[in-house]
Amino acid sequence: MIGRRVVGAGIGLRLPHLLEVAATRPPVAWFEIHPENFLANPHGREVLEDIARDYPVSVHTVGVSVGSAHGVDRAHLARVAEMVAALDPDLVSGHLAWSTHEGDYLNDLLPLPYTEETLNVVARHLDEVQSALGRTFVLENPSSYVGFAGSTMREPEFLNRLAASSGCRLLLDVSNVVISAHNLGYDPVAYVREIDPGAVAELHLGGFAEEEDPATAEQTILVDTHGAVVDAKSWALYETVLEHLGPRPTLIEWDNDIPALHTLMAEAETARGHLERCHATR
Amino acid sequence: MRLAEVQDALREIVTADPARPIVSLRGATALAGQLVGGVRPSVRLAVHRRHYRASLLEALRTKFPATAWLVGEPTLVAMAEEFVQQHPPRRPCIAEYGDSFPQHLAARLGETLPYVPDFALVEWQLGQVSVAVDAPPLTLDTLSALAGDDEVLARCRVTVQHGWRVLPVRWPVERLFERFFTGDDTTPTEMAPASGHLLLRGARGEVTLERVAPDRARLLGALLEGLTLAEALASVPDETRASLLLAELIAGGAITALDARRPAQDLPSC
Ligand SMILES: [Fe+2]
Repeated sequence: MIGRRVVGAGIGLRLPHLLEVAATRPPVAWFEIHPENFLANPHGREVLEDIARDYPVSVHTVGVSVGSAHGVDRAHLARVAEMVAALDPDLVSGHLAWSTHEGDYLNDLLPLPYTEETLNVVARHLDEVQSALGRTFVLENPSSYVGFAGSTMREPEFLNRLAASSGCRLLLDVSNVVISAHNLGYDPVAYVREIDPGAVAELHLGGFAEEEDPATAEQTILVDTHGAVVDAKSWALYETVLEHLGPRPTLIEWDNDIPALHTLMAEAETARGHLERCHATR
Repeated sequence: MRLAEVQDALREIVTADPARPIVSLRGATALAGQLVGGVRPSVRLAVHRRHYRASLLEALRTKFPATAWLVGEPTLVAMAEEFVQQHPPRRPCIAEYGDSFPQHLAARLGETLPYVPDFALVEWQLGQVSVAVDAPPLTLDTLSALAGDDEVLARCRVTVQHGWRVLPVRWPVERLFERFFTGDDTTPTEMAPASGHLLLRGARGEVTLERVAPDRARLLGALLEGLTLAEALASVPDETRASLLLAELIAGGAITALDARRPAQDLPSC
């Protein structure tokens, strides 16, 4: 519903489910969409705008590269801004990562060293993005396979400082915390406790896969596939997150090997149960 | 190490030929001692390299299923891998990635399978028109009424349905598409060149393609290019035939508006 708030547990609306959702109007609290799926798809956009008349929507861009040393792609930002203006979503989010470099678009979310230089670069780009969108941007913590020896800040500290300086809000991807903590060997609960609760606007939960670590014999890494049900470790950390932050709109993300809509709705129902228990105990 | 240098190194690793081990790359040398994560952190960047390549290969496979049917899946994948290697995306909208893949096929397969580039180009354009949204067409009477009179109308430019394209082809690829769409899996027989034009029409998931007469292609091509109705009509030598073709196009729903974006000189209403 244009202009309505996202509350409760939503699901990522991807193209394979678009026509089904338009035709059946399933009982889903809200939908998150990737604008990049619709920029070159007028028919998809028409269907989406029809769906958005009945459901709250969040716009989650995967192409606005706020961490690029050489600047964000302004032409792309303008296209996203046009779509945001038309949909008037409750939230607009993107990643603390980079993907554009000297005009090449690397179509993945690449890691950043957490230094004062990066902080300044990202803060400058957040200002540019927020002024192009005319609204607050919501910044998501990444899933990481490597960190940087030269980082002078922990990730939560880096995110908190960005939120304080730029006025952006945070999207805490709980599964990304599980993944990064496993891969980089830190405590996920300590990470969550360090995040400023007042800055967090939204939560994500998504599936991952465990693989052999190519860097270390007999170890594993977690790979952010968005291609499976939410793992027990993510649900457990989600409980901790809700205790720390209180209830926040929560999204089930699933982008690869996309299952039937009812599977996503069942995952959202599980998240809704957690949120209701959280409400009841506060 | 400055952020831009880190990103130079990571770009090289992510886009490098996957046959080259990460540790052998210049980027890995530049990042030595800079990364953490396991005993040899740089090899974990293989995850990003894999995601990058897989997402682009999947984008091309999704855009060119008929071409895969025509040349065989292994050939399509081999061509797509080369293309990804040589042409990183330049825009963050992956739905737009692959527009120059038919040219890559022309360079690599044009000698042995000369009809493949035409076929792939038509497939790309079919993908484009399939997601178009059609607008209510205008009748000749409505167009005249909007312009004021027929003389003014002749000097107006028009908007053609967004899902209509005219493409020049050198081969009868429409026959191959007919077989693809009907699931006819028999081996393609020898094909003779057949230069001409195809009309592609699409909207909201539906597409059609058909070979059209040269003068009809010329007239519609002129309107799509943004020439005035009079200029477009003049592209057909026989005046009566030109008027008949235009009437057919209008009756067929081709025109949706007088084009207000490019007003003809001294005609503010157009
Ligand atoms: Fe996420």
